[in-house]
Amino acid sequence: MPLLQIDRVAKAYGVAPARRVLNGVSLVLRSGEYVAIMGDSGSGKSTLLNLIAGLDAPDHGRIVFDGQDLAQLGDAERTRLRRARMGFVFQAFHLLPHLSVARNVALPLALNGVRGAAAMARVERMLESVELGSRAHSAPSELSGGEMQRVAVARALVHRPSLVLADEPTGNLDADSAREVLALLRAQLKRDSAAGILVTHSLAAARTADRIYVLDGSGALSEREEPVHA
Amino acid sequence: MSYGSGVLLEAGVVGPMRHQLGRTLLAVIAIALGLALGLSIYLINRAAADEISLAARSLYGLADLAVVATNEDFEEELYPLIARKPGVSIASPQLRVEANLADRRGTLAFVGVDAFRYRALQPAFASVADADRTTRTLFDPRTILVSAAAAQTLELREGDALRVQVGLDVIAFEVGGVLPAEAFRESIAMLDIATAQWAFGRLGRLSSVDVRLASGASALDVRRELASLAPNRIRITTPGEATDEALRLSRSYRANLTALALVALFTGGFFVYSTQALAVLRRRREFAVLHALGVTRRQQLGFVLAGSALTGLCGSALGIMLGTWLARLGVDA
Repeated sequence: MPLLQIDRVAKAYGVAPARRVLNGVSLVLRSGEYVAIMGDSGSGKSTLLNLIAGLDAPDHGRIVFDGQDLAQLGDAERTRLRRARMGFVFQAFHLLPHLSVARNVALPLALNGVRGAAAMARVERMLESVELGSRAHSAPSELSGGEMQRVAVARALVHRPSLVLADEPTGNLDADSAREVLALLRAQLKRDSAAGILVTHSLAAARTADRIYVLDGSGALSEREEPVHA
Repeated sequence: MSYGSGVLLEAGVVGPMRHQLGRTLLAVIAIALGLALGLSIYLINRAAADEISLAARSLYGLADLAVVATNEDFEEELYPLIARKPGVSIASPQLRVEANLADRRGTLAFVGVDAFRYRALQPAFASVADADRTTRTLFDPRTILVSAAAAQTLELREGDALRVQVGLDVIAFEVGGVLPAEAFRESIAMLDIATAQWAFGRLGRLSSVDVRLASGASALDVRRELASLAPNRIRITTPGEATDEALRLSRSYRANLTALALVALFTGGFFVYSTQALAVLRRRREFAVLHALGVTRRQQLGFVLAGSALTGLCGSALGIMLGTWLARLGVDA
């Protein structure tokens, strides 16, 4: 059974005339698969990610995650599903500024009821794996952009989700930091056998995924015939 | 508290408060000020009401009823009729005159009493160590006793002279002693009733007669009997009614104070609402991130409410301390 099944999803914004950003999008993702979705700005990449996360609802079509039709779940159920089974990496990092690096990483564990020594040990291991063990007690404002995004990757993976959604994770980074973060993201996903969807407008970034899909101007999604990481 | 709970509390409640320390402190101060003003006004108000009640009650001593003039005074011929009524155990006549002070600004209430009768109704008056001397002092036509409040306000001591303007004449009295503060809370001067009638030109007139009922007498029956003596010129009142009357006189003053307290509380509340609403607006992006990470709307509401409650708790604690201190300052002033 696929982990994620997107079936002819459509989404439009506004009224008369509505702007259709997704048009009959279908995608199947299995556990451990890492795909990239490319497209120009405003092509609907982030909208698709929000629909997959259950943060928004499609106008037409169905999104089934781990056998559950998201449309059949209430907001609180979708939130709990996202909390337990998904991880998020944002373009602007979105670390909580009032929490230390370690506590930012610990947040998904706390939300999922992993407490005490077990949580602390997992946070420590996760920070070591993104090479930020020595910065555990630093404030996010004391980190560079690349370091912040590595913390965000650690936060997205610490609770061992089945699916990680990365929305332009290198959009605010220089080329070296971007390469580091992408390599780290891929390595961590493969280590945990988690599936991943990378949304990007950069072909170089997309090439770090197993498959590449392209969202065109009409809102249709198609696979780009370019084998990358075999 | 476990590590996980600590992380959640810091992520949703304490962290944002600490991160925006200025806004948090402003909200705490606003709550504290609103509450302090409201509380201090309430406490001062209550202290004033208590003071008024005590002052009104202290003059009655052990009296059950008082026959008071509907106008300024009534003829003293009514006094023996009152004293002889069945059910009346003790009747203590009084003449109360508000007199202008000759050498100072303002007035002072002069209360003329029959010392022997008055002692029987006023335990504090009877129990002062030198009560006999006090009683003797009251028979001296040039001597008055002053309450502690009057002594303090007019800076009078035993032996000092107090000059009073009566029409075109000035009468000088000598302060023979200071009455105990616990018994006479009002600012008054006490003198013999005959002296008072003569000095203030009110011969044969009384302001009131305090009445102690005989054991087993029906207060209602006695009240009815006394009222029938001169229905148009006297009315019968009880210490409780007198207290209510005194409080009624200050009701509008106290209502104004209460309104002021409410305005302070409302203003504080509005300010807190505004700062909290602004804080939630500012945290919109943070809430969106938390929602994406799996924080439900209900949990977000919990974070906001917990933050507000914590701010309110700190502000309230500070406000209660500040309000109590302000009230003490106001009452002592």
